[in-house]
Order: sequence, then C-alpha cells, then structure tokens
Amino acid sequence: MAAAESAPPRQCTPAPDGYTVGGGAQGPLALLPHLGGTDYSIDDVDFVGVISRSLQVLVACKDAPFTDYDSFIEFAGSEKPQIGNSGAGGANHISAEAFAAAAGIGVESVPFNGFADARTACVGGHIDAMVASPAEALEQSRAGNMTPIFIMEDERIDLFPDTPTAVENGVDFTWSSWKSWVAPKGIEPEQLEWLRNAVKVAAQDEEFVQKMTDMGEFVVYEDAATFEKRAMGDSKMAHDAIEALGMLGMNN
Amino acid sequence: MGVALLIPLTFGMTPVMGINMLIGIYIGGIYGGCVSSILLRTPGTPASAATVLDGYPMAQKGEAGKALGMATIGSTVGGLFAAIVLATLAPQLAEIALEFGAPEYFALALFGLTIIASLSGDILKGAISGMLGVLIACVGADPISGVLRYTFGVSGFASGFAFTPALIGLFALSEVFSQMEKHATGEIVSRKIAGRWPSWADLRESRSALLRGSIIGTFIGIVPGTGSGTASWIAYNEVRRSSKTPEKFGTGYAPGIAATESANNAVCAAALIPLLALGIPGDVVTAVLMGGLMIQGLAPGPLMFQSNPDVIVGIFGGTFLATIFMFVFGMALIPLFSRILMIPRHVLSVSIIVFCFIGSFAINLNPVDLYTMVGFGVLGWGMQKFGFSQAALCIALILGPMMESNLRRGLLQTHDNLFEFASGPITQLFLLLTVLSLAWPMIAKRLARRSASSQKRDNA
Amino acid sequence: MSGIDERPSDTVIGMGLLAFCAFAAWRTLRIKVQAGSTIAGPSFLPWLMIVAISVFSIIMIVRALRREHGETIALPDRAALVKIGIFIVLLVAYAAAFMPVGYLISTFAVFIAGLWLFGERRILMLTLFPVAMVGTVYLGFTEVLKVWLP
Repeated sequence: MAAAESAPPRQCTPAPDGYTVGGGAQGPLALLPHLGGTDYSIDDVDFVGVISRSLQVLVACKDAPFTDYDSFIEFAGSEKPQIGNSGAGGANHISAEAFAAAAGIGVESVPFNGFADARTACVGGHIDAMVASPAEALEQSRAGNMTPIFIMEDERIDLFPDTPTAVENGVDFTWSSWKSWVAPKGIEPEQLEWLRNAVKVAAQDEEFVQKMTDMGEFVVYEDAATFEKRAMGDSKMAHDAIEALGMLGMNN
Repeated sequence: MGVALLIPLTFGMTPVMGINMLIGIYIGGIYGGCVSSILLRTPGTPASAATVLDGYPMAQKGEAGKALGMATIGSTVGGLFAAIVLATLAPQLAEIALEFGAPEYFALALFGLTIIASLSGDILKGAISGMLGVLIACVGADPISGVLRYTFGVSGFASGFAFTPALIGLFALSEVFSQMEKHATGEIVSRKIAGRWPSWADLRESRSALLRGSIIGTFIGIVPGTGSGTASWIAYNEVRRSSKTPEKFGTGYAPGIAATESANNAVCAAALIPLLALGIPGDVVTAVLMGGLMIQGLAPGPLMFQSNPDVIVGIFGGTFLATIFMFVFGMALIPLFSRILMIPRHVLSVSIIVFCFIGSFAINLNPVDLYTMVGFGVLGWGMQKFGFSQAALCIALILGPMMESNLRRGLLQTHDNLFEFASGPITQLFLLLTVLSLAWPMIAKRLARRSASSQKRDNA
Repeated sequence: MSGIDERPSDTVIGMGLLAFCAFAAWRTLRIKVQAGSTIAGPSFLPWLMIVAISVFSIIMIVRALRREHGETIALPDRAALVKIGIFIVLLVAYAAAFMPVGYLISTFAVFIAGLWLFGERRILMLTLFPVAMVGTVYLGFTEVLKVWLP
C-alpha cells in the first residue's frame, strides 16, 4: 500500500492533432507495455527528441565479495550475486537482468520498495550490488560504502575515469534512463518537424540546462533518429529480459 | 506533502536556513496532526492515528484543552529528547540502522502487529480485523514480483489503496456517520471546554509514558523506513502494558496521549540521524529533505560531518528551535483550536466531510482516492457498530505491507532457509518479543494471581 | 432506537466473512504467479490470510451459537437508517462529481444536502453559510496553501 512513487498512467489514447504531445520517460514507453496492463505500445508514438538522460553505474555494496569488473564476473561464475533494485519490473531491475543476459552470467534480483530502501540495504551490506546514479555512487564510494564496478555507457565518464564500461570488456550493453518528448503516431509531418525543432532549441537553452543541472538532471539533447534508435533498442532489450523473467504480459 | 511543496522556496536561501525551514514544517506537520485527531477524530497524518484513541474521548468529555495541552507537551518532550540524541550520538546510533536487513524488518513488523491482540477488547474480532487489513493492503502491485493483485483492471488501484484517504475514511468519516445516527435519535450532548493545561497530577501520571514514548520513538526513528505511524502504536501499547491501570486507556487517559505524541515527534528528529550520518532517508519526508539538501549542493552522508560541520550544527540548532517554537505556538493556540468544538455539531460534521474530501484528493490528485475514503468510511462505521476494532485494521494497513515484503525478500535472499532467515540477533530479539507480547495477557494474569495469593498469605 | 443481540449479528457477519473469503480465494487463484526460487510468491500471504480469516470466522460463528446471551448492539431505527443510506449515496455521488463538475459546485450542493439531512431548516444557514464556508475553504487551499482543486 501507499507506495512512495505513484504508479505511471496505463491508459493513453490522445488525438494526433499536433497540439497533444507527451513527456515520454523510459519506463512507461520501453518497459511498461511489455509487462502488460497498458493500452499503448512504443509503436504508437512518433519520436520528437530526448532532453535528458540519467547515467547508470553498477556498484558493489559494502562488504561485497568483489571490488571491480573482473572479480565481479569471476564471482558470478561460482555464485549468483544478489543485485538490489528499486522495484520489480522497474528500470534498474530490467537493466541488471539485461546485463546479466548480455554478459552470460546469472544474477539474483532483490526488489525493494523504491530506491532509498535499496540503497539502505546496500550501505548496510545486505545485498551484493545495485544500480546507482553517478553522483550518488561518487559520494558513497568516497565514504567507502560502495565501489563502482562499471558504467553503463559506450565510453568512460568524467566522474569515474578509472571505472570501465561493459562495452570495453566485450559486453554489448548500455543503459540509461531517459526523459523525452513524444507525439501520437500519425501527426502531420510538418507539425512533427516543428516540434522536433522546438525541443532542440529548448533543450539547448542555457538557462534551461543550468536549471535542470541544478536539479540533478544530466541534460543532453538527442535528435529524433538517435532517440528512436535508443528507445527501440531499450524496448527490445527490455522485452527479452522481461520474457526471460516470465513477466511478459503479466498484468494483462 | 507540505515539505515537498515548499522546496522551491528554499532555492534562494542559504543551506542551513532552507533545510531548517523544511525541518520546521516536518516537525510542525507531525505535531499539527494531533489537533484534528483530538478534536475531530480525523488523523491528518498516519502518525497521529493512535492519538485518536485517548485524545478524542478526552475532548468528548469536555477536556479538549487538556488533551491538546498534553499532546503539545508530549510532542515537545519527544522532540527535544530525540534532538539531544541527534546532537550527541548521531554517528554511533546510525550504525544500528545498517543492521536492519529484510529478516529484521519482518520481525519488527510482526512484533508491531501483536499490538492488535492487546488493543482489541474482543481478541477474536480484533484478529479478524487485523488480518482483513493485511489482506486489503495486498491490493495493488506486489512489492516483490510486481504483478498486480486484486486491481480488477482499475488503473487507479495499481499502487493499492492510498493510505491517508483510507485512514481518514476509517476514523473521520465513520464518525460523521455515527454523529448522524446520534442526531437522528436525538442523542446530542452539549460540551463545555475546560482550560488548556493538564493538571500536575496528569503530568506526574504521564511521566513514564513520556519517557517510554520518547525512547521508543527515537529508536524507531533511527531504523529507516518504519516511520512515526509504527512508533506511536508501539509506544501506546508498551505504555499501556506497563501501566498499573491499563483499563483507563482508550477512555481519555492523559498518558495515552503523552505516549503517542512523544513517540511520533521523537521519530522526526531521530529520522534525521541516519539521513545526516549515513545519507539514508528513513521515510518519504526525510527523502524529500535529502533532495532539498542535494539541491543546495550538499550530499548527506558520513563525510558531511567533516566537510560541512557548520551545516550539521545548524541543523541540530534548528531542530531544537523548531521544537521549542512548536511548543510556544501550540500552547498559545490551544484556546483557538478548542473553539472548533463550539460550532454546532451538524455544521461541524458537514464541514468535516468537505475537509475529508479535499484532504484525500490533494495528496495524490487522484479521484479514485475519494471512493477509497468513502468506502473505508462505511466499513469503519460498520466495524465500530459490531465490535470490530478500527485500530486493528489501521495497524495492519501500516505494518502488513512491511511485514509481507520483508518476509518474502528475506526468503528470496536466503533461498527459503528459515534457519538462516532467523539467524540474526536482532531478528531473534524481536521474534522473542513477539512471542512474549502474545503470551503477555496470560503471564499478567498469572502474576496477578500470584501476588494476590501472596497478599492473602501475608494478611493471614 | 432499536437493538439486536450480538449473537445473530456475529453469525451473519461470520457468514459474510466466509463468503468474502470465497470471493478473495477465487481472485487469488487468478493472480499470475511466475515460477520463482521461493515458496513465498505473490499469493502466499493472501492465502495465509484467507485461510486464517475463514478459520476465525467459523470460530466466531460457533462461539455465537453456543453463547447463552450476547451484548445488545444498538441499531438505528428505520428512518435513521434510510437517512444514512441516502447520505452514503450522496457521498459516492460527491466523489463521482468532484473531478468533472469541479470543487465549488459539487461541494456547495453536498453542503446544503448534508445540512438538510442533519435536519437544518433555517434558510440563512442553508444558503449564506455554505457559500461563505465553501468559498473560504476554496481560497484558503488554492491561494494560501497552493493546493490545486478542480
């Protein structure tokens, strides 16, 4: 009961009139339709543009039996590491499972009621690893409570120059949680073009970038083509992970 | 909710000022919940639901001022106690928070649920109410597998019945129904409102209740994710259990109010301990506070004590000041609050309905919550009528989800190994307390019989 | 005011709870359980509660049947019961109207209807007071507390 985060909407049938646009986050677009209980899928939208992404780091928790990427993979060979996430079927549950599938290892996902609970268990050493944001991972790793294992990006990031990516270790896996604008499928092409330009201008506005950065967002603009590729890729990866978990269409 | 709404106002302030403003709202908000609990039987927050038990009867007896005074004193004592602990022992105590894994939380929740047995007059009906509450709390997305349970395809139920609307319905709306019933049968009692101060006798009587409430609240506050609702129920039960006159509880007895209010305000300050010392928020409000700190460019955690000692000291000071201001304003406003009861009863009842609706709606802006509130109102009225304990249902709604998710998380992590599950010392302690708590009525009876027989022997 | 004995009411409530358990059991069967590594799946606790409530309900029925005498429960008479019934319908309608109709109109209507049900017949109380009250509350919440109302 009384979940800290409110449930995302599951019904969505807007008119493609060019005035109705939607804020599209990764969860509702790329994950939720696979779990079922929604009346839309990712094929029902036209992509406008990504405005921000939050990067993800897999961290080892306090007293975990591994401290870097190699020892993590080695440990996973003998025993399934317990990876905490902020909710079953949520973004960092799916990302951990998708990585495990890509890397050919087994993991045991331990769901918590929200990110804060998972972090508490991680700092207390009750789980082996979890997925965290870079800012958080940095603060807690300075305190010796978490150790970054790998970054879920194509390339290393400035905050953690010494932490590898999965890609450079030969595992084709990237994941980040994005926020974007989408429009209903079937919108007029010139209206779509106008919207794409508008988002491009807005997302690169200095004041906007400053304000969002202050609020802890990683502002990055991606055009429609890049966005579509990313969203479709995430949706496919999520579909496979959810299918492997036996959760496909469980809420239909 | 107030805390989240006011975060934008703190952008332009210095860190200490901004955070202290949020802390002030947090402390004041938890305290303010007792006013509506006592006067209108409407718990504004889950934290003050237990205050209804003794506060409302006391106000009905015409001693609203005394009840509010006791609640204010209790809140102040609890808040100050926890603030002192926060200022002196924060880093050491924070370590306790880290010891709590899934089995420990499960055992704590189970212990909390045993309160039902001692709170309900008819144990059988109390148990049924409690289990019904656990079952009702299962509605919504399952915490472990994410599968939707009993939602009947209604998307508004995906996150379960919203908590505060359910409580408002259970206590406040059901009382409006009762008032309507009394009105129809002409049983209207006029009330007088007595002075604002609890007497010295009341205070003396409540001394141990205040102490126990403060300690329990501080401890529960340090354990993340338990919250002031849990603390006030456990404190109420423990104070009642250790009292020489447990039968007076529930009839408008000052120590009952002192226990719940000192506990829930102790939680506020104590919840800051894991937040500041470890960067772990204990509940939704402290999570919002953490967001506020991070917006100011401060990441709470063990390093903050070294990197920003000025902020830490500022927060300590702010917590003290907020508690003292709360006392002053609370005491000064009691006569004004008490006036509410002079409004004709039927007008008050209809007004309460409007506030019930606005309150239920404003939390999530979700119209489904309104049906939840009305539904629980009818349920609560029926339960009260036929001797089923509303308090038992309320406790189960608070603790049921915590018990379930941690039981299953623990079993998942230990691969169904019950021995490994129950291997931690804290888990065993709480399981033992659970057993003792269930067996307590029998133990108490035997003790009473023994002391009675020994007295007889002495007399003979 | 009429009253009934606690014993028959307990029996009826016990029966009702058993019926509810049967319904809950049917719905629990429909929860999709994935093959997992633990015995405690999503329907584990619901089953435990359903079985326990059933058992306790049966105990309650048996206890009610075997008791010599029960306490008397005061029940409202027919007129009051009808009034409360109307009141509940009114509240459900209020809940339904809150969003589409908006706070001001729906609350105003409910306020008057509620006062009427409580036996208030003074014209001033039924017109001016609700207007003042509803308006003050609206301004208080939207302007001072910045809570959005429909």
